[in-house]
Amino acid sequence: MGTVELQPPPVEAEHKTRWTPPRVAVWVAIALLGGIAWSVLALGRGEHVNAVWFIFAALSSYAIAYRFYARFIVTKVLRADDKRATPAERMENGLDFTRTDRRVVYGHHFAAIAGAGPLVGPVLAAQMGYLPGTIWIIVGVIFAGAVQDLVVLFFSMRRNGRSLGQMARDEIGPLGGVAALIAVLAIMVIILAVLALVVVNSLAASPWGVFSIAMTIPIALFMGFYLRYLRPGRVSEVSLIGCALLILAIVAGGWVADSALADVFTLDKVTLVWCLIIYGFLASVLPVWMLLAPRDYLSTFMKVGTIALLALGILIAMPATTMPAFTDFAFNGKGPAFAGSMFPFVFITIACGALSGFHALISSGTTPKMVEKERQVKLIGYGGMLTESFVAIMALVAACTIDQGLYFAMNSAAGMTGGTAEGAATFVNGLGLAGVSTTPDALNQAAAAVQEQTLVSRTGGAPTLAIGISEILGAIFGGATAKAFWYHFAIMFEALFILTTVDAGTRVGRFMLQDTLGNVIPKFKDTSWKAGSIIASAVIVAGWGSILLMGVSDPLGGINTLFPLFGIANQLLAAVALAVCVTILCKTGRVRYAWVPGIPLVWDAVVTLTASWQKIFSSEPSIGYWAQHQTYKAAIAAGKTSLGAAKDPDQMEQVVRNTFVQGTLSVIFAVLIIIVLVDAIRRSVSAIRSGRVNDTEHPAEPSRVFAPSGLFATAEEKELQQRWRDYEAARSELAGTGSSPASAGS
Amino acid sequence: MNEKTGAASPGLQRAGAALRHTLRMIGWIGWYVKEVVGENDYQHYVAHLRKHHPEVEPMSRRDFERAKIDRMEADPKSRCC
Repeated sequence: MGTVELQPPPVEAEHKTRWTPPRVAVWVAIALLGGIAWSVLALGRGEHVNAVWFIFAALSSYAIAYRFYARFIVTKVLRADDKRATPAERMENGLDFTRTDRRVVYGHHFAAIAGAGPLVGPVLAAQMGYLPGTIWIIVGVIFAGAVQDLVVLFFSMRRNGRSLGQMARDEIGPLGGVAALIAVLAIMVIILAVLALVVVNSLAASPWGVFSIAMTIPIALFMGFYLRYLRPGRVSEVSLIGCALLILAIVAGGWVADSALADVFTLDKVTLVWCLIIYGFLASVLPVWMLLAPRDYLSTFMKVGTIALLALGILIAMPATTMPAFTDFAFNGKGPAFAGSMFPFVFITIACGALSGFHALISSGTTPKMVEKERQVKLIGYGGMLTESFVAIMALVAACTIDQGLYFAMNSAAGMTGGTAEGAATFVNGLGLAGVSTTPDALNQAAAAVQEQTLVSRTGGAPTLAIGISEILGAIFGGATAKAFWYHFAIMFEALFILTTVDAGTRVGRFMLQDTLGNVIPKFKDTSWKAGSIIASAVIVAGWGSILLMGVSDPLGGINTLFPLFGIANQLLAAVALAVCVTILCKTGRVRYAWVPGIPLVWDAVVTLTASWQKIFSSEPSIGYWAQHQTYKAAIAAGKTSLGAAKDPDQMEQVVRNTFVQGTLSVIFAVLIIIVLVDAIRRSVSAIRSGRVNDTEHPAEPSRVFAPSGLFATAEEKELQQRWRDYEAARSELAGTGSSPASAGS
Repeated sequence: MNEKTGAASPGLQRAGAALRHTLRMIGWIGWYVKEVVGENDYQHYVAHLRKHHPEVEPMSRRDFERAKIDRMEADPKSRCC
């Protein structure tokens, strides 16, 4: 049949804005509010600054950047075209390529990129005052982080969802591609080690924390069996049950801590490390449905719920900061949480909230296969990252509102504080910071308030954030008596999603390794080969496990020596991603826009290579790994039995070993990235010289569907949606199939 | 009396409208959560087959969910830090 031809409605809406006076007024008001908020933050000297100014400064800056800069990138630089079909439309298979509602893809993407990074980094950076961190989180996300996520997402989408590694190989070449692949693998290992270290530091000697996090394993197993055998696919109901059980586990943790069982769950750091290593290995070889998938659901729910709760808490409690805009550590580089001056170390410590290379792995791969219309990348890529940055701002606020004396007592390594309240008070009072003083009593009381044995030297950021959260949420829900609950709630939620990252990361790393090994021994490529997967898993777990073990037993404090490596690794991965973006723009005749990813690339390369340089060549032992290495080697040769934080010859040997590994890793990272950058520049220059357009994207095919592009549909988009519904209805009537496909809500 | 009911009814109407609006919001949130966690994937899959490959018999829900989770075995989605 089909004799009657129906004309489909247009596949895109007009996206030029008409600048009516009210619209202009709204944007002027947003700009003014942002200006006032920034002035308060930048000029408030010696005064307590209310948290709402952070929120206003962030939100108004995000709004302007999203409306103007992201739009410019999407329209002019990327030339997103809604008349062109996305891979989800062209290759729709009902499985991984599925046209998905833009708001759902946004939620999906955000859940995948959000993790512990933006919660931990800003807390550590708070030692320099609130301003350096705030500026970098907001300005960094606008010009670097969100740009990277957006551009990588778009380029991957135009290439049918190719991964970052594949794009690096295709665009830059085999050498750059191989270097990028090894960099990704090495970076993955160090990231897992440092995140696991954060967990270990927050659970050590805390029976409450250990019990509740241990309970997540049976809860996840239960959820896994429920989804597999009882009610397949009913994710939301089982997640609700799981979350309820989780809350119960946190409450029960308090009972356990008060009972005779407390000793069983009081574990030292080294025992915890071995538990984590065994767990990580099992989680990576067990079937996904048992542990990994249900855990992932649980952590997604907890993550989104806690972030929403924290935002609400800050808005209601409106706490004031106790941290000044800058502390002395911003300039003298002698901070106890991490050593080094503001430039470059603030920029690598706040990794995920402002610019995170890891996101490029998610922006390429899964997300681009779900995008319905090209212009939606602005909401998903840029908007998703803005949300992540907002999480980082909230973490910074939480850290800056707690007592400064407590902050420094918690974030100084045990080598400095001696691990006792007295030692910590002496150390903190000796820091010589204006307005910072504490007493052993105050520190003991703070620990008792959250029912922990001690808070001294609980480095890693997570316990500090948990204190901040417990104060903010305790002020609103439940008062002082609930503080212990909120503290352990926060610890548990951070530990939960760090462990989810460790599970998933080990598995992803295992596949990458199998793929790489497969080039030499083809049998490794077969992922169903059991022995192969066990060997590869063991290698990855041994990789992060050994660094983790090194970190927990480091006399100098694992976080303060390893966190910079984590930051450098993550930022170097961003350099790979941005280099791929610049190369693509140069190869496709858009050199005049290469500055869009180019400026963040140059900044990022300068920051990370400077940091690497200092970590490798600095003669200051607290900063340079090799300087530290030589100092201790010389001391041992001279027959000394203790030096600085190392109290005996064994510990001194340990410092020598650790600094060797850390120094070597720094060199490897720096060399790999220089290879990628040089190769990218070579390709870009030759592409510009030849003047030819060399495009590797999938040829354009016309789109035959419509969907709004922004978060909220405009009036015109709503009208178009209606016309499409009418058209679809008329067409199915003509076809006479009579079957009405089950349509989703909205 | 009359005046009173006359005054109450717009109020009641407003309350009814607010209630309907709230219910719609709750429904939307429920739909949204299910979409994000992938609970509706099976319905989308069946709809896709009906529309594009009506000759293919769709898998059962149990088999579909099993296949979906087993695909993660070979392609675990990375989670960020």
